[in-house]
Formats: sequence, C-alpha cells, structure tokens
Amino acid sequence: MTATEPIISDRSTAAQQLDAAASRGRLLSLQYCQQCDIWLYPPRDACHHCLATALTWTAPPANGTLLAETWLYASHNPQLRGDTPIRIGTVRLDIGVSILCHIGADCQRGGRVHLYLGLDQHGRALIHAEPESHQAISS
Amino acid sequence: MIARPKQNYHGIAVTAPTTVPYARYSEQSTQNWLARALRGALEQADLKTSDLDGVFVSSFTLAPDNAVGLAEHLGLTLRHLDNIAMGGASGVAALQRAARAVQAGDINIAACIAGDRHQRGDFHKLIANFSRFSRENVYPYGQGGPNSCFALITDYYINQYGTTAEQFGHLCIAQRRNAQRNPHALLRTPLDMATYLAARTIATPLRLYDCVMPCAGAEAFLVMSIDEAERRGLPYAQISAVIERHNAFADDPIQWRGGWAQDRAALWDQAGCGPDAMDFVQTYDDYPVISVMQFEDLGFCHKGDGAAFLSGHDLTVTGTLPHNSSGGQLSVGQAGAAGGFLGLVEAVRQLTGQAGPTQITAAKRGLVSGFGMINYDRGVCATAAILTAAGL
Repeated sequence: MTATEPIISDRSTAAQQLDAAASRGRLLSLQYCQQCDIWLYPPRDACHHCLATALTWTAPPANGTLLAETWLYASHNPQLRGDTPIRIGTVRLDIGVSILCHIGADCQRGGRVHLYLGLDQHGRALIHAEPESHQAISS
Repeated sequence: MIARPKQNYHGIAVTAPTTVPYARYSEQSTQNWLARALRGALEQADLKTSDLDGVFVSSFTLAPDNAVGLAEHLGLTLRHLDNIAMGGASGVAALQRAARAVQAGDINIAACIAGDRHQRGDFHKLIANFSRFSRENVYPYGQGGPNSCFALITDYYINQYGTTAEQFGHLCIAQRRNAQRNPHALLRTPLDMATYLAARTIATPLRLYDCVMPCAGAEAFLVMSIDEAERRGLPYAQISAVIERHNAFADDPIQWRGGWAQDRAALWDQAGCGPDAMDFVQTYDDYPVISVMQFEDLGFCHKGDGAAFLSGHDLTVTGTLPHNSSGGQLSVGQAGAAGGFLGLVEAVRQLTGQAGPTQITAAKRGLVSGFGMINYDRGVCATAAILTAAGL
C-alpha cells in the first residue's frame, strides 16, 4: 500500500455480510425484504421501499442483462495501472436490481450474464459477470 | 396531502457574483479559498462580515470541520447557517434556501459560498471515501473515480440514442471557445474536432476532453432584498423559478434522465415562459452526456434528441444558444463543490452586465441547472433555476 492509497476503513456491517458470502464461495448473496418481496443492492441497513430494518441475506436468481460497459484506462490506484484497461459494467438482474461489477471476457453489451462472487486481496467481496452460457459449465 | 401553491421569489436580489480564480493545484486550505470568496463578495457590496446574518456553504474538503467551524474560523455571527452537501446541485439549492430565508424575514443578507482546496492526493482521498455506497460498491472496481459511473451512463446513452462522439465534441469545443474569452479558465488551448477525437481514452467511451479536471477554487454570491440591493446601488438578478429534486427515478435500471424531468412543468409554469425565452443556458457539465440530459429533461428537445439539438446550435457566447459561457467546468476546471456554483455565478454576471469578455449581448433571461452526488451509480440531486435581469 502506497502513501497515495487511502486505507478503506469503516466497511459497513452490511457490506461485511457480502464479504462473508464471498468467502464461502461463488454463489451471489443479496439482501431481501420479506415485507416488500424485493431484493436490495447496494448492501444497506433499511429497505428503501418500506424502511424495514430486518433484511435477510439469501441467494437470488443471479441472471440478468449487461446494460452498459466501460474499459477503464485510468485508475487512481498506481498498483492497478499495470492491470488497465479494467472492464466493468452495469448489470440489471431480472429481479430488478442494478449491479456495477467486473465483466468477464465474452460478455456482450445487451447480452445475458450471470453474476458470481469473488474476493479481492483484502478479503472483500467483488461481483463478477460471466456470459449466461458459461454458467452451467462453471457452477 | 394538501398541496399548497408554490410561492414566488418576488423582492429577492441575487448579487455580488464572485469567482476566486482557480488553480490546478494549490497549497492553500479550504478555509483560505472560502475566506477569499466571501471577502470578494462582501467587498463588491461594501459590506462587513458583521452585516451578514446568513451563510450557506458547500465544500467537500472542510472536514473535520463543517459550516459551524467555518463560521467560527471566519468570525461570523449568524442566525442562519447551512451546510449544503449536494455537490453539483449546491448552487441552486443554496440560492433557494437563502432566498426563502430572506423572504421570511429570518435573515437580511445571506452569503452563499462554495469552494475546495486541491493539493496533490486530495482528489484521490475524496473519491475513495465519497459515500458509503461508492466506497464499498464502486471504488473497489478499478478505482476509476467518477469516470467509471459516467462512462457507464454515457455508454448506455449512446447505445440507446445513437449519439456520436462528434456530437459530444461539438459541445466541448464550443465551451473551449468560450473559455478562450475567460482569462480565469484553466484550459484555454484551442480545441478542434480532430484533437478532441484523437485524445487518449480515459474510460470508454470517454476521452480526455469529456472529463472535468479537478482543481482548487471558490465561488460566492449574496442574496438580499431588492430594496437592500437598490439602496446599496448593487446590480442584481432576480429569481423567476426554482426546482429541486432528489433521488428521482430510483427504479430506472441505469441513469438516462435526471430529476429535472419530474419537475420541468413546474419550473416553466412558475417562470411563465418556456425554453425558447432563454438567452443563455448554464448546465452542470462534469461530462457532456449530463449537459445533454439537462437540455432534454428541461424540455428544450425530446429525450434522445439532445445531442442532435445542440449540434444544430452555435453554443458560443455569440451563438444561437449560448451555453456555459465562461467555458464551464470542462474548460474552467472543477473546483469541487464550487463546480455547483460556477454556472449560477456566471449567470448573475451575465444578467447584471458584469461578465466582461464573456458577456452575452442583451442577456435578460437564463437557465442554470445543477446535478450532484453520484453516491452509487447515478446522480441523486437535480436542480434548476430561471433567473432574470432586474426589472423583468
């Protein structure tokens, strides 16, 4: 970690739940509000429809559409500059949440994708997209 | 719910438009920048700090202080003090709050100030901890800062509506031409289409000249009664209409419109005119796609037609639709929260005939819009105001 790399502290309890899920395996886990029957992302502390604070973590149907993508050539982290361009995108899951995530090779804008969890070097969850057609092979 | 009619802004003057010339990097503190902005505004109006009774401040880099610490630091004794943490929407939000406080008689003279320092490393610190959602759910994905989300918004937009790079370039190049009139703009090198298109890629589809450059700077203006402004012989602008909306269209899968679209009828209804009556427009231009959305969502053209609409206009100071006459953030620089004041302060200069080299001939009515705070994947705050010259 260099002097220009701020330490990311204060990761919320909700985000740590996602980290815990990622440490258990690839299966995507999201918060769910039983009162509203909706899924929530990013991890939060209250349902944005009914303000319920009792949210459960569970595995959603993790398929959706890649709405937008970018190849990121400029990173603020000097340590990542060797890895650029980094491909990220916005995926709209069929369950109605939008997730900014890493995009794997062969994913196409407008195409069907499947999301899964990984970990970064600090043990934090990262969400990845792969083409839906790869899903059966990898899971 | 009983909806009460929205009151007008009669009797309110917006005056003393002040810009502290920006610097790409500066060792000066945020308090230093804000003090110079406030002093500049007070000097224009021949006022002392003891004459002020309201302050509305916007800044990303006051921590560990906030507006309270600033009041103590600058020796201000106030009866209304606001910390407006709405980024690019802060200018119009401050204007509205100050105007209402003066109208209600809570205060007599309000200063609205915004500014941020920019020392090396400051911008990285800001984006790493911008919000809880961005820190946890955006920053870890390549640490691209705001470029990441705006690249995604732009990518979606151009694939939905068929916008070309040349159309975005038209807007950026016009602003650079405006900036060449503005001695305080940090980016004044002439920009042509070939150079715009050949610039390095920052995050596809964004190229270098699509992205604002962070810098240090500060802006300020005063709000008081028209009686007070006239007694002091101050040139002033008036407020015709204001809208403010936060967290609109939260269920849109990705941002293709902003909160302006929800309230534009109320804006034009209160103003008693339409887009055609505007002598200039100052949009929030951190990235060209956001300016295009403001023209669409504020009713200048249909959704998806914004880039083509703008390409049909000369957007320079002497053009058919003067836009971001100072050069905008894309050419002046983005001084943190001051970016949310830049267009408003320029609008007040225009309407009071004080814009000097960027003055638009016979500028009587103008639109200023703001856009702020990408906490996760979309800008949450949207504002707009119609301002007019005195006496209209």
